[in-house]
Amino acid sequence: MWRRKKTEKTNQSETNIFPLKVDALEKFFKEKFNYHDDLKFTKYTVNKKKVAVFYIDYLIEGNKLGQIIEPLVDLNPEIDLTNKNLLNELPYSSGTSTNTIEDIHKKLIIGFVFIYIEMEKAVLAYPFSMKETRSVEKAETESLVLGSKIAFSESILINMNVIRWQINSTDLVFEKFTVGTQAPREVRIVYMKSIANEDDVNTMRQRIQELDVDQIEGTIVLKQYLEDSQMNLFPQFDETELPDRLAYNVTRGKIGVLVDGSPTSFTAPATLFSFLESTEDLYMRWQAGSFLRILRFLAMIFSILVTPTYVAAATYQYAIIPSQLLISIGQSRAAVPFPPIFEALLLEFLIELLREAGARLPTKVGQTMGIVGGIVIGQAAVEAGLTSNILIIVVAMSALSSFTTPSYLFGTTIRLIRFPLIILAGLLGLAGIVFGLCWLIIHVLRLTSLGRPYLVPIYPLRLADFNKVFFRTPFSFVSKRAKSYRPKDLLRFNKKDAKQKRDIDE
Amino acid sequence: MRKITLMILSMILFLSSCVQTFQLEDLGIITSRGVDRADNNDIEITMSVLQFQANSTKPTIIVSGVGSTIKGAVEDAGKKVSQELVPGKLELEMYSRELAEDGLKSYIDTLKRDANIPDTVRLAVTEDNSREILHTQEEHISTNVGEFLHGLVQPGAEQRLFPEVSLQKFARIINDEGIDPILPIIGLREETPVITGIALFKDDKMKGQLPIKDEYYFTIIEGLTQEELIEIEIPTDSVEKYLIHGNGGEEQLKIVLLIEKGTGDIQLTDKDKLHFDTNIKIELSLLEISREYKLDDAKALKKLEQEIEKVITSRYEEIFSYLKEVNTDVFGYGEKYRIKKKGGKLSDKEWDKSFPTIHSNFNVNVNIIRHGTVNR
Repeated sequence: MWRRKKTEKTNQSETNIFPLKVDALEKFFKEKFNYHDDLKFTKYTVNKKKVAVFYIDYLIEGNKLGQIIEPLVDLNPEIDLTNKNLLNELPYSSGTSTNTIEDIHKKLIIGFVFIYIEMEKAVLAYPFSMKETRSVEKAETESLVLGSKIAFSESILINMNVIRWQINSTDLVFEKFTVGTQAPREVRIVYMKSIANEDDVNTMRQRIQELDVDQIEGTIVLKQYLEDSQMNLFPQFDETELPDRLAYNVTRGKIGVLVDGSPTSFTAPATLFSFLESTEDLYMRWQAGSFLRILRFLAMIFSILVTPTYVAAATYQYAIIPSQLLISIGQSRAAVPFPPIFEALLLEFLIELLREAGARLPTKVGQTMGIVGGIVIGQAAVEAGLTSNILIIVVAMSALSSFTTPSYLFGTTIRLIRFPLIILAGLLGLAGIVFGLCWLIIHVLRLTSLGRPYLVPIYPLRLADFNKVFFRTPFSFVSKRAKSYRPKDLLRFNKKDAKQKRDIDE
Repeated sequence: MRKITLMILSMILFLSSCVQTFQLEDLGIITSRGVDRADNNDIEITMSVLQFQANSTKPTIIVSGVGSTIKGAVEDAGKKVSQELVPGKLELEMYSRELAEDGLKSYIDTLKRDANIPDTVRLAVTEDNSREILHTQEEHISTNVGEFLHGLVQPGAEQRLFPEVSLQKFARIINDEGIDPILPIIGLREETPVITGIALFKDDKMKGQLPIKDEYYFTIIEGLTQEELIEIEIPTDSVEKYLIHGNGGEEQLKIVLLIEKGTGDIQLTDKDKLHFDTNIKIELSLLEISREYKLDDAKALKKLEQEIEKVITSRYEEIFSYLKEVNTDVFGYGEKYRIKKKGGKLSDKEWDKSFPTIHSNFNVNVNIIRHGTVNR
């Protein structure tokens, strides 16, 4: 994947067939052009010369076309019809001339209109491309209570426009790349020149440049190509559909990546904890922001651990259950014919089914199904003696807490991690959970994102960054950017100056 | 390398046996048990066992077994239930008075040795035999017997019924020279189990007992008393002039006090004659007084404190002389002596001989820090 691109594609022999007759050109396209059915080839006679106008009609904007056909047809009879004169006469400044067939092909499929004057050495090309896009809409997957709700659309131009207005700074750079040999796509990396770490930008640039694939399906796919390791569960770059969140990350020194035709973006480098951050934390007062952030963090741990712990306790370590609970758990367990591990796997499977079905179904049906699944099946499963009602609560709690992660990708990872842990707990009890957790911690410790440690600021320890990652402090304490990402410019504002009191009578 | 690791891992997975499971519904969980003497020097063990059946309202059953050892008796009891009996939630172990008088060492040993028995298990002595207590009808106590008994013995935050005696502490103190342990005595009152007294041990053998109302005299010496109610009666004659409405014909002035803080300290004053000073400091809140008293008067309050001091001191002296009589050093005078002694060694035998001859001054210092204001 990282193979160096074979030194610039071997020059596809450039064929120049010009000058030729208009009819010959039409014939040429009929024979050589792969999709001549789409090609509109119109012939005019202007000032006694034959002129051909050709384009693919569904790729261009029709009203713009009229604006060049009209002056072309009504051309002042005194003017000699040549490429040079025509370029001057037509009201569009964006016309260029080209003379190779390959170039014409390439430009035809991105919506250029060509004008060929018989026996000229080159063709005039006008970019009238039209892209059908969805207009910007409200965010669907990452919903917010506070903050801007605008989400990325499929058009990279609109996305860049939105980001530009979010960060209206001369420092903001959109570097352009093209990825894909067969179906190229435009890829942009977004960063603040004066803040983003140079090494990180270079790494990202290099990875994109050296990526040799036929085509990419979108941002998330590109993200997987670019990640440090594809062999593990954890996402290493932070995906988002909110320009708001991208802007926040970019201004803190991270690098964003946009792909044309994809309504998501991702930022790098990421840490385990950046997936639990939400821009909403920033909009809340700092106490509430801290609370929500810690809540999400606990929810993650809770979601991973609670079902395995139930399995371990009900299978091996009955002594850790408090006496009062022991009776109710024991009685509901007594009706269940399976060992706890099967019981738990069955119910987790049920919940996952519900979740997946809910995601696939149309919204209106989805709601009904949620109710049917959650209440009816849950209740029936207990009454049929398939599961104990305590486990229903446990599983529901763990499912609920896995929804609290702002990143959907990371939430899915947490969903997956539970299963091996449940099996380990069923085989070895609490020792199995500890074993699994150790494995998990070692694994996460070894992960990197864009070459930066995944567990920063815990490992390596950076106490100064804790208030940007685990909790929030009032803004007067956050005069610096997170050191973990090694931004070029650490300072956001002068702390001393900010603390100075400016009394009216001074 | 990779292949070898994979092979080893799969061997571990497939060739190893499974860990023994303890599935909740297949277990009979012992929550408390009582040990009694049976015929032919055997012991009988009675256990309150939690066992689970769907839709059953009574999860607790009482099982008993006979054997020459505790483990043997549990094994015997196990034959009578369908589930496997496990001691992982054992919260209380009771011994009949008979056994306690003969020594508990061998029974404590099995508690300590078995890793499955939690260290939080509490010990108690029963007035008569523990069989009866465990067979208490559940109507009388609303919860199941095991839990009820544990609640009885476990020191709650709101009311410390008994100085905390955990297995560890008891096992340590029976082996320590110059200090002896105490245990709560559980008995039946109106078919409900209650703590009725304090069992005084000489090493692992029970020697005597004191009523439960003297319990705070022990906790104060340990320095652990907090938020505990005491009732004291002082003769009305001594404080008559401070009573607003006179004594009203009552001979005793009844006072209820809350110990805010009680600390005790034993000092060896004369090594050769074995003279000790026991200094006790108690801070009290006055909660109830049977006659109206001039509490605003500093002198009156002082007098009240003095009277309370007198009562407490005399009770301490009574307890002390009783301890000397049964020769158990529950307060740990021997330990203080051993520390000061040359070489720092003291044998049990030596202290047995000298303990009845020691002398102690009880200096009780009572301080009423709150008495509240009552509208007149």
